[in-house]
Amino acid sequence: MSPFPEAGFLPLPAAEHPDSSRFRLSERSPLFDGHFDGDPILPGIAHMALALSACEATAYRGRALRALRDLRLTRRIGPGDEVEVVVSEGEEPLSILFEIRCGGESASRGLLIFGADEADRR
Amino acid sequence: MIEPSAIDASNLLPHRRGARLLTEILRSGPELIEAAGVVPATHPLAGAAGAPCFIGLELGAQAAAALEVLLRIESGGDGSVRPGRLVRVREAEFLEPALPVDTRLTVTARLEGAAPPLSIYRIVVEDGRIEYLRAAIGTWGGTGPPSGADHSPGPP
Repeated sequence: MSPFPEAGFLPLPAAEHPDSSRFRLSERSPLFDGHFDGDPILPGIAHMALALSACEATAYRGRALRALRDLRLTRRIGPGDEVEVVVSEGEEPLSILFEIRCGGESASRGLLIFGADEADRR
Repeated sequence: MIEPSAIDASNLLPHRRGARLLTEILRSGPELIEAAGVVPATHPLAGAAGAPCFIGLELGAQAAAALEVLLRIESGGDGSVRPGRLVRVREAEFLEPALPVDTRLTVTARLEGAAPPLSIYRIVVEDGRIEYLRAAIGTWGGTGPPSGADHSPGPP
């Protein structure tokens, strides 16, 4: 379940990779509306939303996002595209490395850093 | 430094409807733009608690794209609008749990370096009382897509 229910991220059956999630970008996703007319492309911020959706299957579910490092967007994602989001523990505390793959290519990658919660402070 | 009285941002960006968050340009100069924007409550990434702070990165990218159009117009060049696509975030700090929705926000984008059509901007998003986001972003202002290879510039 994505924390962004209105985004049009349609979950697909799990991939073979245990730390990955797959989604199809609905052709009717409002994220494409006006971005851009005649040439729809997923906004860069939506890559982060996809990465956070994949984090729902990890221990970081529901945690506040505190920082982002080294996000590189290298491939456009359009309506109807299927993506695989692979996540792994980052080297920094409370961090997750992610890569979004689409059409056999890397579409983006970056490092998400989360805030500590009460359990971490004890 | 130009201090236009509320230039409508819609003429400077190709974003339409809910995708355009920037509303007006407050002031601009050769390496700096200050603009106002709003994240609508209906934004597809917003929820009951507001909008995730990372949406402020889009505000920064739109402000940077608007500055590049203004500079092209000022230099007598092509004033056509271009997306100013976000291609890199070197670092971003999200200082609050969420951005308020349907609230006027101010975004400042300061040019830190450029290798056209790539540019690096330092951005801040705030509402006059609270700072929500600080980041260094890279935007692609070219007419074609930054396809395939990683064209995003390294640290300046």
